[in-house]
Amino acid sequence: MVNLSQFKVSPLKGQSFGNLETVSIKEIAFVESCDLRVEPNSPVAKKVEKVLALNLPQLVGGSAKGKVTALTLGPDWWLLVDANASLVEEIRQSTMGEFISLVDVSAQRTCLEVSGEFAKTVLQHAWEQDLDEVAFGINACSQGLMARCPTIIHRTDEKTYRLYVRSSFAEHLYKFLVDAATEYVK
Amino acid sequence: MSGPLTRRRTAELPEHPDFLWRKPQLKKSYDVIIIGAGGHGLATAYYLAKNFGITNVAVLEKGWLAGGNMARNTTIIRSNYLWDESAGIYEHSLKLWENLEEEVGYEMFFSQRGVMTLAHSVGDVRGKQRNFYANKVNSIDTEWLTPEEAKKVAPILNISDTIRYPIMGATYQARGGIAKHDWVAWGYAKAADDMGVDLIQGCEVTGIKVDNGKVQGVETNLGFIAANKVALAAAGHTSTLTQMAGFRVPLQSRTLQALVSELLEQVLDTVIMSGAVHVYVSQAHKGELVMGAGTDAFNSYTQRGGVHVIEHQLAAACELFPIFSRAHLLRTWGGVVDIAPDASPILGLTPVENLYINSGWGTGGFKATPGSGWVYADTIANNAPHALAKNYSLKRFTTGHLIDEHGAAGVAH
Amino acid sequence: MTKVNFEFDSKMYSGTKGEPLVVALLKNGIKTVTDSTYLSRPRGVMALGAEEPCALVQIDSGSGEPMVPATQVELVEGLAARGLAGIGDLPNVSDDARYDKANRHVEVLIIGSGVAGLKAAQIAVSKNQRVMLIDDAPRVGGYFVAKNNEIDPELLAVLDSPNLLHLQRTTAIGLYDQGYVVAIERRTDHLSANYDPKVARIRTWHIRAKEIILATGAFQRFLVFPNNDRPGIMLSHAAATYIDKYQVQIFKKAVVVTVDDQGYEDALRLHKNSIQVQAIVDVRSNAVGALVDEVKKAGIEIIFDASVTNTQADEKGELAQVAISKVDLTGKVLSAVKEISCDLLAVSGGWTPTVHLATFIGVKPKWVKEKAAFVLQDLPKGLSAVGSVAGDLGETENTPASFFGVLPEGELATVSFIDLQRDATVRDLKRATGAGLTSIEHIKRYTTIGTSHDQGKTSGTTTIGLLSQLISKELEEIGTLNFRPPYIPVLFSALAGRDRGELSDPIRTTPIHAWHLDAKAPFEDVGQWKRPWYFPQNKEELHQAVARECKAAREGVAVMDASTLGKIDIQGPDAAEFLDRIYTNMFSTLKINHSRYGLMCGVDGMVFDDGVTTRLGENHFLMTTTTGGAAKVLDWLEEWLQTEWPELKVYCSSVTEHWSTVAIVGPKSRALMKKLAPDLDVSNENFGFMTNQYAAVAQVPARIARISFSGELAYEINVEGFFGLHIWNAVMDAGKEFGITPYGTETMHVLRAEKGFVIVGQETDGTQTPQDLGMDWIVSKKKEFIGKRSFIRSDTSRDGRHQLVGLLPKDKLKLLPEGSYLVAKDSKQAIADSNHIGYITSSYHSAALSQTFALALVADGRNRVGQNAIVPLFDEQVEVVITEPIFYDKENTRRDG
Repeated sequence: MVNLSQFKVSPLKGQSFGNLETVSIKEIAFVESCDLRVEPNSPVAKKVEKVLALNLPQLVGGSAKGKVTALTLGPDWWLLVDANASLVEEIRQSTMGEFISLVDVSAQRTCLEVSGEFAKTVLQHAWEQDLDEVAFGINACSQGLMARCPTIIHRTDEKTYRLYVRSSFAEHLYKFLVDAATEYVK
Repeated sequence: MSGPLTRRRTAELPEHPDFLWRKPQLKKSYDVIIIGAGGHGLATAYYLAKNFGITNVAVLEKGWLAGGNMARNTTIIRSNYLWDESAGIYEHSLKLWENLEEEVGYEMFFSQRGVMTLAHSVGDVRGKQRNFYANKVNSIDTEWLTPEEAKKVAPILNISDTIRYPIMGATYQARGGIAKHDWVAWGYAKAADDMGVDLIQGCEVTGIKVDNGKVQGVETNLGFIAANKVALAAAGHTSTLTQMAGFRVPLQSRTLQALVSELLEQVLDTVIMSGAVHVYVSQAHKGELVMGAGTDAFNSYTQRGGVHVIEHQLAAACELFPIFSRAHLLRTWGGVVDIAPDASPILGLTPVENLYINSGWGTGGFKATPGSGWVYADTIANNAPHALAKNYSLKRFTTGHLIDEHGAAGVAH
Repeated sequence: MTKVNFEFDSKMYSGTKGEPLVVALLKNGIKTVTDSTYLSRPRGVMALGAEEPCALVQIDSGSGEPMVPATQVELVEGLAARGLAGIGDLPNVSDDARYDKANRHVEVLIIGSGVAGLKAAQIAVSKNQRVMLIDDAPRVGGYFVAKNNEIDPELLAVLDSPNLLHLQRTTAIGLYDQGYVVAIERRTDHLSANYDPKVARIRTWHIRAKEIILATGAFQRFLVFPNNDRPGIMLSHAAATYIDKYQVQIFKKAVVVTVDDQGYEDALRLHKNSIQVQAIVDVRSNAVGALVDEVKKAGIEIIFDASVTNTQADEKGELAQVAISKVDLTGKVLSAVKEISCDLLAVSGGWTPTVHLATFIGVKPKWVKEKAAFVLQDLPKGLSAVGSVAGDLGETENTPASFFGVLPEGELATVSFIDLQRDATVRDLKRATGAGLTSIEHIKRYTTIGTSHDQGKTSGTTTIGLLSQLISKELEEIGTLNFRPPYIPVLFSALAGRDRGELSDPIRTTPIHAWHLDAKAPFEDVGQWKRPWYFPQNKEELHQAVARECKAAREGVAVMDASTLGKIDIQGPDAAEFLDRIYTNMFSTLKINHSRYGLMCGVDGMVFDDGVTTRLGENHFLMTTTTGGAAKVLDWLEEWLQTEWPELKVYCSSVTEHWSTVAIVGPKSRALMKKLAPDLDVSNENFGFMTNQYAAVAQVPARIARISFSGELAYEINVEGFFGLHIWNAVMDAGKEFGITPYGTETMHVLRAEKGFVIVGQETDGTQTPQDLGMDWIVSKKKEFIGKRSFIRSDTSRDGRHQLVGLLPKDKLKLLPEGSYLVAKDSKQAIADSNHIGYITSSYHSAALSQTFALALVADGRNRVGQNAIVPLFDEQVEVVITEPIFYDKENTRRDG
């Protein structure tokens, strides 16, 4: 078996900036992800949930963790993060013949992890939605334009956020956030 | 960095005349009622009187006269549109502009300081060059400028090839320019009033009376006014009026914003437009920068738009004209523009006999003021579309003969 | 209390760090800050804050800024400024200071940290919610602190609340619908004359609040009378504050003119600081109460039913004397009383609540006679007001008079200033009403009152009041001027924020971009994408590189990065039906692993995008779109699925960046493909045109499609985006022996044009049907699809429409300009009122044809094939012959290699 990883290049080539004491911005390269489209609460959806060992959150902006992290992007739309090919195949097998869509979108986006004391502050320079605890607790997610780049944001920890930005826009978002971080990073 | 003490003078404006217009008593009936005392409505009244001797006319205005696009405007005047039909009416308008102050007898600060339209990519150049050649073939004055030539015309322009969307060329209509919107409106109003046209402010049309398919008059807050002919000239509110008359028009009303800076030393003496780096700008007589960009993306009658539209055009302006980074935004406005599916006007007859429509000028109405008024007056007087209005019929949405000026209008819809 | 040096009008002075520039100037004896814009009259400071109409300066130190009110400038070491006569300077030096933007969401936003705002904050923070408090002054306290009072420590403690975000030097400039406020924070100018490249000089705050409390206070208005503009004439609260709080000690003798009790309060502050207050001139008939008693006790004369009606100046043009007369409330001067020498005239013309923000969203303030003020009323849900902006102007013993000044005739009217910045006077106002104008909006435009830098802050109500006096109409009837954002002028660069230079718009790149950069390829901007335009070698010009690249593509093998094309994954039992409705041609008949070129039209029947769509499975398609059309097409698909056909079971996913596509093109591409994918049977029998194969290419899993945009044998290698660069490198490496040649967008354009393949957006402008393009073959007769109905519209089906044709110039080397128009050679053939018959959409040198050629849209084009036409350029008429729109390999024999 050829080790294909040797041939992979990520959009940001693993760039990183800053530190955890203030703010750190770094690429988490090669995250595997899958676009799931399925009727919510349907028998098909239940089959998916079984394979993934989680309940697909109904409300947009929710997330759930099981064998993957499922981010609810729309009433019938989830992004399955860390969904490797064999797991996706398992879902496919268990829902064969049903109305469901599973699309590998691993390279469609790249992941930027923004963390540290000033992570939220830096993001608030680029993101117009509410990031405070009361509106965006740990595990919340949302989608929109960040610095004019189509981006999904997922809060994974108290001071940690994962941004999934469309790959062709990644360099721009990275530069923008690094610039925004200038005042905070020591 | 401080310089010697300097006290500067800035261009003074001459004064408006001592007397503007009467406040006439509203009559019970008129030969022609024009709904809307904006630029087009007033120009129409003027030309009805001037060209056809039709003076038993009332122009009804629900607010204060010329309180719409003529009250704040980026005032870009040009005729270098793409399609033959557009070139026809806008060039006719430009020719009228060239003699307007003298004819109407009112200072309008009409300044033919040129209008430059920038191209920022290979595709952009291709599109603008087609516009350029189309103008040539229609005998409309136009030039193609290289970036260096553009910079000679406007030294503050950033033609560096390291900016995000470098300038690759530009069209230039030397006969294009600007004029002062209030002065234009008041010039037409005063001249029309002098000829006996009644300008009625604070009069809102609440209904249009139609009998056997023919218009009879209008219901207003000041009572019913009978009329032989009724002409709509209400821009963003056109579709609410046509609804009163029982038919629909494919118009969407959106907010268009404009802005000015404080008074600044003269640094720009031409008009510059950019579609790609979306902003258009000129510097007025007094010294303020006047800027605009695209409409807001949703339908609205509120006359106020989103702040992001302002932010984006200021960023665009700073990119193209670095010297503007220290200018201040002084005031923003919003108005309601009516846009047809092909971003071209709807001018001519309607399904209701003796009811006429002039609308859909969208973001390009100011420059068309004289041409539109002239053509509309002719259409009303003759009860048939003027030659230049033939293609702007409401019927084109059935035949499919659209005149798609979305790109050429230079303003994002 | 640090001493600092500063420069004003080229002279050096000293002052105290942090004090307002106007205070430093006054303390240095400078009363005249500048000249007026048009009449060159000396002007000095009149007010306390952002409403200052006269004392405008140009800051030359630091980043530099024109037209700043000197009341808003805090003194720092090295500050350099000069007075401006109403017009600012734009230095032609780049502004390298940093500007940025921050977003916040709160439950409560309080605008104004005077006592009323602090009290509102106290209530707000006590609830478990997020509160934001902003104020434009350097410190909290507003009017209360200006009167030299100290705020109760318990109230001040509010500022330490953990759930409070507190910003001073932050001006709310706009209030927008749905609880949205934009505010400008000045962060560093008060710290140093130089900006810090790492710290934002100005931050624009975008605040979304569930509840907004306006505590924006009020400012005074001045009175109108002849020569009411001299340096030394100030609003009374401002004068009292400069003297009492800031200890300006240059004034000796004062007169106070007032319409309310405020004048008495300020007179006492002046008196307390040893200013000789010679008289209080009160336009009212009487005033009683504690304040009045105190004034009398201080020995200050009170003259009722009177106003100041003229002033005299000294040799510097600064105030030296006032004339007092009896007046009535309509502004009529009745009889002279006396003249008093003084160097300070404190004017209390009434309080104007700072209502602007509420009016931005359509709230109409109401005139309340008892307060002589326009007060907020009928505030929408989520907006409330406290303090003086709400009309709480303090309990005064005597009501204020609605008096705005005198309305003299003749010469005196020309020096009775209403708008100090516009030098607009009573004479101008009278001319306006004389001309027949009654609407305040008309009057503003006629006189230009209110249009200047201060946007009529101190003059607005005065204008309405004087108009009321002039035309005998109640203030309520006249109404207010429309206020508009921004509340104060804002730097362009502050609102532009970080969207400058490199960050002004995203640059979109493919995974192979680094290679293109190394190759020093010039780029073409295609929307936000940077696509290699051509790959020059050895200092080649564009046309040389293109000729070489085309030759390689037609005779050897060339490679292109086609990753930017839009890609949409479409799945579901109704996917095929859906595509049949979207495209003009059939897709339900497409076999699995086959690809088909499709055209889509808008509802008007006009072509709006195209692309090759591949069937990956029974219910699974991969659509490609043009590079620029990707987002538009996905929106289009979703619009139809969500709003018109929700019963169709189809899902769409964007995968534009998930796949990277490398196209190898040319007769030698088969051999190269074989080398890259040894296990793949690349024979034509096995791997036919418009089919797909899966194989490992350079060891990486790929879907290879035999699609050709050039007409040559070609393979499009599709891999997961991460492998894009690897594949490209592998192609370049393996292709060396074949003379592999990278090519860009220009060559791509030429190759397809030689074959007559249209580019949507170049051969089309939204007004071409498929039939116009000669693509009747792609218009299905068997099914309904979007746009089909429109084909029968009279203009869409008429004869003589512009049709796609080819052009060959008689001069084989003459390159026709794209966009140029054609006329018929025999001009009697002119069609439809215009003497042109069409225009050129694409034009190139062709290496393969050894000549130039073009594609054009020409009226009745197909019937004109074989005819001659002229392209009139400036200096020449170029003769062309009209041909079929295909020039190379007309039988399509080259595509199988």
